[in-house]
Amino acid sequence: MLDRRAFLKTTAFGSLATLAPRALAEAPAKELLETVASPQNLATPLSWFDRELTPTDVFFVRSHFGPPSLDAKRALSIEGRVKRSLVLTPEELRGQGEAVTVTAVLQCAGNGRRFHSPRVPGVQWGHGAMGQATFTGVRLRDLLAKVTPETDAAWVTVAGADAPPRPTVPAFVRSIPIARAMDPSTIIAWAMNGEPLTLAHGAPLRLVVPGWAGDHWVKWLTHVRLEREEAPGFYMRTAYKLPTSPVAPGAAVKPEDMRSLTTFPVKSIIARPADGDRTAAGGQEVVGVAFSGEAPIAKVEVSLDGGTTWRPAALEGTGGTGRWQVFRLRFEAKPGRLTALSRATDKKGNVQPEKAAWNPSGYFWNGWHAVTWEVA
Amino acid sequence: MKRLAAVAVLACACTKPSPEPSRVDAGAVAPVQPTVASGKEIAQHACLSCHSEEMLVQQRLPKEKWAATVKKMVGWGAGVEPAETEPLVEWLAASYGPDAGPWEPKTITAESARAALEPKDDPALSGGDGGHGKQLFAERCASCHGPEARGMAGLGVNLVERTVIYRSGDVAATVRRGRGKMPPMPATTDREVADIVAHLRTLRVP
Repeated sequence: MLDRRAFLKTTAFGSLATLAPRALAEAPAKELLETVASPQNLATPLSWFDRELTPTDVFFVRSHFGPPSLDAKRALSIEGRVKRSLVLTPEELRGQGEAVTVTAVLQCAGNGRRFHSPRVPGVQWGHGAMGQATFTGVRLRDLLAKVTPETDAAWVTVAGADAPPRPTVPAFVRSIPIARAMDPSTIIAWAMNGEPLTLAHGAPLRLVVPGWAGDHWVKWLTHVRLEREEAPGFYMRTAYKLPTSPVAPGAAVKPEDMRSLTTFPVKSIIARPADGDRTAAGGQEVVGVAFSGEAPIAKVEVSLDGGTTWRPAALEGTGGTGRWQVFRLRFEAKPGRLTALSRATDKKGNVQPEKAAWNPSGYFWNGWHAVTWEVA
Repeated sequence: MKRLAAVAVLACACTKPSPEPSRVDAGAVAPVQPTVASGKEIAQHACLSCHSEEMLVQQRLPKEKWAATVKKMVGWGAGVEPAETEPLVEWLAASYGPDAGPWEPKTITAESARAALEPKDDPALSGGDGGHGKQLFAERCASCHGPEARGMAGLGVNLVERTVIYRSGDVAATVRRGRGKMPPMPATTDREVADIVAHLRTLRVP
């Protein structure tokens, strides 16, 4: 079978330009990058970031301890600082509110960690710990209304069934402020891309917090607990923290100068061409995705001269906070080596920086993405 | 070259339960110092019981960062004796330091990723007697995996509600071959594996 790259190599681009963009975007191979085999930590290849929705079977997988065994009836309890607690099977949960579907980017806080310098410990993700899907479930606020939180409930602590390998390893527990829990986009989902959640993606239930990094999107959800304070323990009090102000690369940062990360920053990533590609002279196309956890995307620009001048790319699809849009720039090029840079700006005026802000755990890499290819 | 040799030995050790020490010196590679080799062995029994070797191989850390990482893991119950800390850190820093060169993850099919988590029972290892399995577990497994199979510091890992206990062939292979500090128990019968697996499947995360 002739793959897309081979097709471009052997065909005059001029005739392809008349085809619809979708026809060009032949699906890449159904493959993942095995960043850690066990517990499974799998990245989505870059070539999938040319479309609105990332198919579930090539959608990145991240977990600290690996999934628990599948239990389609695993119950969820909503408890703590509430007038009355609730224990619901996934089936019962569906009747607790209107079923809603959100389209949102799920991105690991550590996505791009390997591009920070100096390097820091942790899963050395490239660009592939992100994806966009539709998630269907009930709003968390509908469930909270049923249990009636006490007036002093300020945090919602969420935990799943993924037990640590030993009792001496801290459990993966996260807390979100009650205001974020009450946001209508925060849902407890049972479906992804219109199909029941897979085990790797949290079946039977997971939390969905659009715009916030993946550590809040707790999978295999078993406990929603209202508390006066955020959860104790490593994964809330030590991990997933960013410096409160910029620090020099490699600097040690005191715990009191760190805060919990929440929304991911503005970012764009180029799916095509890939580094090292060869294209035919003439019409070229740079395609990728752009998103921000702070606001919808305002614009994406592409530079072909190392950042001296920038050209506006076309934005496709629907915009939204924590939702990606495909960007596309078409231009003509003579034979030679080309490097494209992409830079996104969101509607709050946040601009993707040339270099990401280094931090001790390597979160939120969002520097300009550069790809270099040969026009033959 | 030295790093490549270390990677090869580590990767090899993961698929072969008893790597031959002589293998390190075979071929035209730089000889590995005894302390470095023992660091590698410590990594095999202390690190690889909870995560596979890519987690080490992809890091690019100076010695002080490796020391901090090992300290964190020991605090979490990794099975590293005090005297083993220094050789382990030395070996990690020598193998996966800042200048260790590029690392790229392996490409796998989406289907194989999905299949790795799927239940898969060997008929010969099915239909076990959970009551008998509970007794066998108490006699043979509980001293390391804990009386409730939830794992113990420095020893066995949690087995409650894990995907592996729904893959009885994988359980049998691990029991018979051993893994890390877990000794091989080659005489374990199919029936005994089936019974132990049946017991483990009755346990729930609290």
